[in-house]
Amino acid sequence: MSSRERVRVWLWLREAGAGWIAILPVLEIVQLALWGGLRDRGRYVYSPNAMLLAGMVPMVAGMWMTVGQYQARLLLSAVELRVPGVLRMLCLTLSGFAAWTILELLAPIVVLHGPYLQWLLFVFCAICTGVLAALFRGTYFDIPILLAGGAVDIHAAMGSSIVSPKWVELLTVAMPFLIAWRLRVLIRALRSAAHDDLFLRSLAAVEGCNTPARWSGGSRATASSGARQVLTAWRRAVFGENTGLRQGTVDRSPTGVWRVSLGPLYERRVSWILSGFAPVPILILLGSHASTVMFVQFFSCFVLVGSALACFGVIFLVNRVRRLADLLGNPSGEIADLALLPGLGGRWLQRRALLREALLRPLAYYGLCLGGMVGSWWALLRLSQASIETILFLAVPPSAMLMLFAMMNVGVLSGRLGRDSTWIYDSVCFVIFPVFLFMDAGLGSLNWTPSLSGWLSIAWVTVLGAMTACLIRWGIQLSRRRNLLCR
Amino acid sequence: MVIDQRTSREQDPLSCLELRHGFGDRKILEGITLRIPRGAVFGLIGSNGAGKSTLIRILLGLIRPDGGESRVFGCDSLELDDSVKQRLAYVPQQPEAFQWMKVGEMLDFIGGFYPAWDAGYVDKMLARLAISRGAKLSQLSPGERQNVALIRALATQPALLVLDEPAAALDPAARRELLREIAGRVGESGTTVFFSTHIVTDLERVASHVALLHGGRLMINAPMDDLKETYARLTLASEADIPAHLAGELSRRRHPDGSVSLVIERRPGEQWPVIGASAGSTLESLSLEDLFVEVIQ
Repeated sequence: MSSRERVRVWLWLREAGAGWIAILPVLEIVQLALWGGLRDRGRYVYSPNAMLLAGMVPMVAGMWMTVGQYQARLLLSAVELRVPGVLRMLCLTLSGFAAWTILELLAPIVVLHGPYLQWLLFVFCAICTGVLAALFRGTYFDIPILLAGGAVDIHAAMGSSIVSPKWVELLTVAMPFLIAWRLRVLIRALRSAAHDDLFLRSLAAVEGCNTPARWSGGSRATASSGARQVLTAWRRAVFGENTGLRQGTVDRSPTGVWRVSLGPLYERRVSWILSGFAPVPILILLGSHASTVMFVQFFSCFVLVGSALACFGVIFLVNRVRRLADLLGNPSGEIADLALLPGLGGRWLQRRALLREALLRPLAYYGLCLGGMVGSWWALLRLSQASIETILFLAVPPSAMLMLFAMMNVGVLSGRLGRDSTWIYDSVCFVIFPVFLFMDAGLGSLNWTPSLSGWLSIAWVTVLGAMTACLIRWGIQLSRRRNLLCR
Repeated sequence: MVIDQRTSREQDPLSCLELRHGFGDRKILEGITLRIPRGAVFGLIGSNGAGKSTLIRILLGLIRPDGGESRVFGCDSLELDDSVKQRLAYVPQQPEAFQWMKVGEMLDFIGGFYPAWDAGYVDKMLARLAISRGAKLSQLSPGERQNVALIRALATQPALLVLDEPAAALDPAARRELLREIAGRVGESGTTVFFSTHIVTDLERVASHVALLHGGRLMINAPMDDLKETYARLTLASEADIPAHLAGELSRRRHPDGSVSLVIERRPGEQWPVIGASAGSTLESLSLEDLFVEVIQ
């Protein structure tokens, strides 16, 4: 293979999302270390195999959802640019990735003489779940598919009386058909005039954009108009979600205009609710199970808690900040309109309205949301008789996220941060990684690092201190800016 | 005299005095002084990156200048009040605002802020351009988006219309329609129009005043009718015949054959430089396009 071809293959693999598949063994090793090093294994009624399987399944599904999005983007780009032979390449790549995923996950089990047929079944099911979630991305079904697939897999792996492995076998047969059906629908849309919309939606989903278009309901695809109407009516009834634009009852006060321009305080409230309260229906399902308390104990230290709070939350908050940066930084965007729109008062009034809508209201809202989630988890942890440290550790991710959000928002408002500022991305890493470590260390699952939580506390205080210092510095700069709408 | 100047500036729809601005070490505008009289169609021309958009944004108070001041209807650009904003409409070069809205939603939303909003005009223009009210702004072509932005600006019935390269994304027919609309507005309601462009023929068609921005300075600033009497090209066989800097010289270009051409500005009531009458030299008036090319090069 010539160097040029090698570069092309490398580029193709990168664009197809090979990196995500390559991360899986690393995560598996981390999980193995985690479960292998459990301090008090007697507390758990499940075998390390089952726990490892249950730990890996959501990750495989999540990775494959991302990979599926990469593939969709490649396919759609290729169709747009009329590049020939891409479909064949994609099929080959997908098959290769699937084979590699199964191999890398099965290898340690086969070596350890574990139940590899069961693993094969569950990993395949997780891959299908991820692909389905990717194909339904941008609709109301992506997160529910992911959660349902993960929950079914975990239940089956843990030997639940409700979900037996036979259900998973049935699902494994049904899922490829569902994937084929969804693909057919998408390809039809691609060939018709709707392909532009599909393309944009796919790209938006990959980039995780939080534009107001994603909440108006206009750009979100649904399975049928009937389902869409039901969902829209439900969302309006439950959340009062309404821009007022269609009804002609727009609030034209300064705060109302900023609210319309910034978009809602949520991207998908339904997803948030599902992410935060997913354990509740699972517990109800497990009501008949003899080891409910044990299951809760297991679930309370499960990495999903950290990932649901940290990843979903931080990504969403960052998108929200980027939206604000877009609004204030793009000279051809809304900023010119808002600065020159009559009836919005002077600069002080606008400044107050902007600070309220961009900073105070979101902080209050997210504080309430995160407080609700922490509260529900606290209840679960109390049920499982967890230590008070565990509960305290649970409050760390939300407080970090709120601090990060405040810091980045003030940075943007003061003009120190732009949409693509590296600060925004680096700050996210600062928060997400300690959160993961905290979740593990705080729950006392690692016996090889007795002082880890102490060191992490110091690191955490340092990170929080740095964020506070930035917040104060940028806050002073913000207070000196006379007109926030003028660059 | 100072009071007269100030009074005059306060009556002008748009004016600035000694504007200076830069990005980092790069100077974009250096001492720009400009007055746009009421009812004028003022065309601003300049090469890419000359600072036309920056100047427009500073004039409207969207960017705080490093120095100098600008006024809109006599009001400080950085402190515009509602009465001024109601009389002002601005169309950026690539309108990207509210792309998540539908055309009708955006127009209704914006229209609610303007007492003089002409809903009939909006409907008429949307029908003429075959743009659906239900179409999403993000799904329109750049030209359609620009058309919607222009409709929105004109529907406010502004006293001052500021357009940043309005014809950049328009096809020739739409461009001609826009120019006709501008001319009509000026004739009917005395709207003052300030627009930047690359397209010299557009300027020649509608502009009553023209300014050329180059190297951070306004090299040319004159009524269109006076252009030929004010600026001329002097061509000399050799550079040795002329001083290092001639009075009124705007630019100097050396040709491969050794000859030199200069663009000369003549103040009202003054004569062309005497050197222009010497042997071997030619003095010719310039079209706007030639003038642009000579000064830029």
